[in-house]
Amino acid sequence: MRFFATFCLIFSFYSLNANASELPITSFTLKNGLEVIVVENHRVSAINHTLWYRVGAADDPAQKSGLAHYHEHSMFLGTSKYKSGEYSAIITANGGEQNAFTGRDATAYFINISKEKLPLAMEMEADRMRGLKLSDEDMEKEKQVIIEERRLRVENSPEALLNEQIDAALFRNHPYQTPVIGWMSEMEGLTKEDVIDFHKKYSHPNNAILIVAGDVVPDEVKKLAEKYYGGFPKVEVPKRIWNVEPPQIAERKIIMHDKQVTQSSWSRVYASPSFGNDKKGQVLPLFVLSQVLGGGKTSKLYKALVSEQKIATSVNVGYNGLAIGAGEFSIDITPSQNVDVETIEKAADIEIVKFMADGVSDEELARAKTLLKAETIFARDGLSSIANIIGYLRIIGMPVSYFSSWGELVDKVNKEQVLQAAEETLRKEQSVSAFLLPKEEKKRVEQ
Amino acid sequence: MRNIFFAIAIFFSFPALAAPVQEVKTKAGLIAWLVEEHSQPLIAVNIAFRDSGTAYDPDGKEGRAAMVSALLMEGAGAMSSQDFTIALENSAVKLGFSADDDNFYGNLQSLREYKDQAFLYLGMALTAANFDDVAVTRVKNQTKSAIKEQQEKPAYRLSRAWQKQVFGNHPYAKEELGTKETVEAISVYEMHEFTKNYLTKKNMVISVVGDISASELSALLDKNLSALPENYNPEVKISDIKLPESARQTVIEQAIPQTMVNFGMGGIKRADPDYIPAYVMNYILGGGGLTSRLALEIREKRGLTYGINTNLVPMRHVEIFAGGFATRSEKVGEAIGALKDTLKNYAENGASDKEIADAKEFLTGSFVVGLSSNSSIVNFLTMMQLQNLGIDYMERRNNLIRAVTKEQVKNIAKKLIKLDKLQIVMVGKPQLEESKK
Repeated sequence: MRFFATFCLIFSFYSLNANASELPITSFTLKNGLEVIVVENHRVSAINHTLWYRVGAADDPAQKSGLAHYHEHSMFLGTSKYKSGEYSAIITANGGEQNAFTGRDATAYFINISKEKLPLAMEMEADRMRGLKLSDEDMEKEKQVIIEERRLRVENSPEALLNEQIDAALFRNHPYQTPVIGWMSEMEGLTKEDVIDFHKKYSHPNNAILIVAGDVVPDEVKKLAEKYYGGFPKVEVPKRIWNVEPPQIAERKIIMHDKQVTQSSWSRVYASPSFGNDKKGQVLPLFVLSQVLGGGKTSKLYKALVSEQKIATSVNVGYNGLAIGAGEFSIDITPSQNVDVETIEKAADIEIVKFMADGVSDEELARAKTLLKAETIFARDGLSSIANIIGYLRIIGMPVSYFSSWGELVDKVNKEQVLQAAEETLRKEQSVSAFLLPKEEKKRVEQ
Repeated sequence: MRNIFFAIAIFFSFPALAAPVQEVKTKAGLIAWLVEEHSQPLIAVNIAFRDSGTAYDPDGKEGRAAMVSALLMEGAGAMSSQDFTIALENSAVKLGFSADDDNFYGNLQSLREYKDQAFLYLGMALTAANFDDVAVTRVKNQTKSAIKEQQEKPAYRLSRAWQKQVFGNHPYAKEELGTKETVEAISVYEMHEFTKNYLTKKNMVISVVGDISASELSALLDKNLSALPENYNPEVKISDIKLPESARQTVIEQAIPQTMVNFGMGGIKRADPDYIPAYVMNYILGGGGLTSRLALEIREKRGLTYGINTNLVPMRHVEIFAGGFATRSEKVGEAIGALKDTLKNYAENGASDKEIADAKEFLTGSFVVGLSSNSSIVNFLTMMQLQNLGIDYMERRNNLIRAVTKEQVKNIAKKLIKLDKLQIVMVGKPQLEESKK
């Protein structure tokens, strides 16, 4: 659902451009290939500066899962100009918030700061594009930090462990099968040399997209970008060569037992169209589908399983279409007391079959569209969320001009498209069904 | 840059805001704080009911406030649960209710074009919720399922153990969602009584930010909230907490690869004149993300954790100064040792000039960035009202921070950081001996 919320931000650009160009978007490219996008928003005297690189966990080499993320951490550990930790310290001491995130498709570094500090933000970010200088000691400690991060986010949580297993089962050949943070067994083997090699290959202006959102004008950003980033040469970056996912022909079921689980749950994830691979215009219909099927108390699955049959206590349906590779359409259901997960799976499948027969009503379609379009306006509240969505869409390869057509596209979605997207996506052979269960109460012989 | 900031402040009440904070008094006598922000067609509303949170759940009926917060969304007046949800969706109104230990909250977000509907549904939920049997049964089942689900979660067990150790038998230690038995015991009558006694004009605080004028707001409040009860009638009086006098460490054993640790001691009242110096002091110690002293000691120097933080938590009946982190089980002893050394050193020596200057720059400079959305401003207005900070607080806030001295930080660090009263709770399989270097 996190992705859904961010996705919806995009729609605002349509309305904004159509209204009074309140948040105009300008883009240009420096001679060295750095793409720059400026989103003007003069409400508050602050800016968001985000530098995106077209490299992510899907580019991790064999046996080096977690490398893109380890590299992201290393970007805070010093350059020839600034000592380890100084980047964070200087930005923070100037009233700025800063951090970074690594995804499957991209890595991004952001700073939110008052507008007069934009030159500082740019200088600091540009410095570490090429000037990284790492010590063995810092890199060893940072490896322990990312291992602690994995323990915190994944190892301590059966839900997170199961999600890793779902992705590993959903993608049999595509690199999305590997967790962004890395498998523990491979993280331990990551080295400083791996990071430096990665940095040399990918951290170049022609592999990056700079977004500045907030109280700025494009000319000012252009001048500063040329000053701070313009001096770096264009360097050939390795082509992103990812294994291709073969057609999915076998339904998969995975079962996990864990001591922490006291309440069983059932989920299913379908490999689906995404912005990156949407050949038939199914992304927007899939957003409508997720709303109609499981977006709240009026949705098909909630009404049937929670309100009427009373066999479940919660239903969540999510769609993540923000990806270069396949997207994911997911259903999560918590059974009521004394109802087993098999009953839930059968009931959910019956509702999906019913949906294919009945389709979407005019009223449901209209309501889903109202909500989708409203999200676009709610998204105008704030600074960095808009920058993030534009950045991600550019990473996927959508042109900046694409944004302006989205509002119209939502209006054009019809019932047949929703049904067709459902028929092509909600196929068991393209899915993993996952059962999260309590630890089995068997007497074991202790070793 | 400071001077520029200050100069702007002369012309505008606060540079992050398009308009000053206004106090709107309606004809019917309701009061709201409003910031008009007409750059986007959006409205954010926050309503807080003081002293109506989970601490007021009666013994044996724990979970009442949380359950009411869910049931206010399950139909009101002539509308069934389904009708009510459809109505909200048709107008894209985002409405929700919640409770913390002290207060009960309503949160509303709407597009300007649907503001009439938004306030109508808010008013209906607060004044005419149905609590119909089918919905009550469903919400009880959902709550029982959520209770069951959290039982073995390390974060839940940590928070429960912390509440028990620090709050003892005080109502702050009540189970937020209740237990299977207490949830079952809550009657529809008692939920109606809750709305009648607690969701009243007397203890209500309203904050609004967005594309709405004072007169529009005034009319909508009178039209939709006038039916709220006049008088606040709590069933109980909550007393202040006396925190444990001596240091204590509790381990909740659980076979997980990483041990989660909470630590803390007494804090400071929001109204205390030393609160702002304490706020700066906390920022330097553990409030500043990757750059705080604790982050440098535990994460950057030793690689023992992904993150560590501390917070001042001024509640209605107690003030806490607490923090948390997680580390691999064999390093827990070493991490706690480093934590105590850092606390001790800070209590004895205070902060350096540079740390204080950097902290002030961050806290003043980031204030504008933090208030760049309606939803962040509306939450800040609610905090200002609940903590009685005055309607001009945003204007004054940065100057209060700039005025903090090195001496004040040192004194307040010494006063608050008491290792002999340090409370520690952890979940995991920690090794507590410090490993030899």
